[in-house]
Amino acid sequence: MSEIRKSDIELIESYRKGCLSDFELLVSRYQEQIYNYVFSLVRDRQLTDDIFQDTFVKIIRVIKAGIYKDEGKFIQFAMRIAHNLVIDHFRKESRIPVVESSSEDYNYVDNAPITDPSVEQGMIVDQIHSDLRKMVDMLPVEQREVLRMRIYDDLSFKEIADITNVSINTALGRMRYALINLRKMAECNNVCLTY
Amino acid sequence: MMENATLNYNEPLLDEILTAQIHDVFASETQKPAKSVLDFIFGYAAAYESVENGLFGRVEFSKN
Repeated sequence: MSEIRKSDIELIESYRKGCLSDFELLVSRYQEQIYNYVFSLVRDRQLTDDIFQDTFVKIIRVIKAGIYKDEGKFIQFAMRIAHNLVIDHFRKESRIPVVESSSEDYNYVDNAPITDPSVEQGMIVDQIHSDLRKMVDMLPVEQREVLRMRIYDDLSFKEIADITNVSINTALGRMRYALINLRKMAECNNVCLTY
Repeated sequence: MMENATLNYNEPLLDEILTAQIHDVFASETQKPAKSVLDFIFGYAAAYESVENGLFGRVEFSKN
């Protein structure tokens, strides 16, 4: 017998009333998306752990205080908290992060394209990914954030603007600059971004 | 009216190949939080629940 999937708001309400297992269900539903969002910005595993924990500590407090408002998706609410914690961290550090791309964590087998390119094409694709990852890492964190939210998380610019607490035009502008910068970097380094 | 206004913007155009490549870059970095990190969160949630329910307030410590 299949169990009916509870909505986010049902899990939140149930947890507020004391059901811890529903909170665990809520965490498991979004843990990877939130964790990887934070990691994509701070690029440090230990720091990601800290910010991820703090994000859920804040979420717990908001839900338990009964002040959570269902104004959309829970994930947007969670990402907004994570975003603010990341910004707080960078403010404390007073620096723009300089990130080194690590190829150690990249598992090509698990993330191979769905298509089955030839070995030669596979190597080209691998090289393009490697180059592109380095260039994405070199983008200012605000631009990298919008790029990820739009392309990977598939959020609308309105949702991105809400989460990052900027106007839609600012979010659009960051996306434009991200693309301009990526193309400039590709041009300056003679990187080909097509197969 | 407001909703219409927010929808009237020009999204920067990306070609499909580049979009797919950028998507793959982010997808390749998929990681999971460590068990210890999740344990901390669930432990915090449980402790919060206990405090809220006054469980700590009812604990009686033995004098001996």
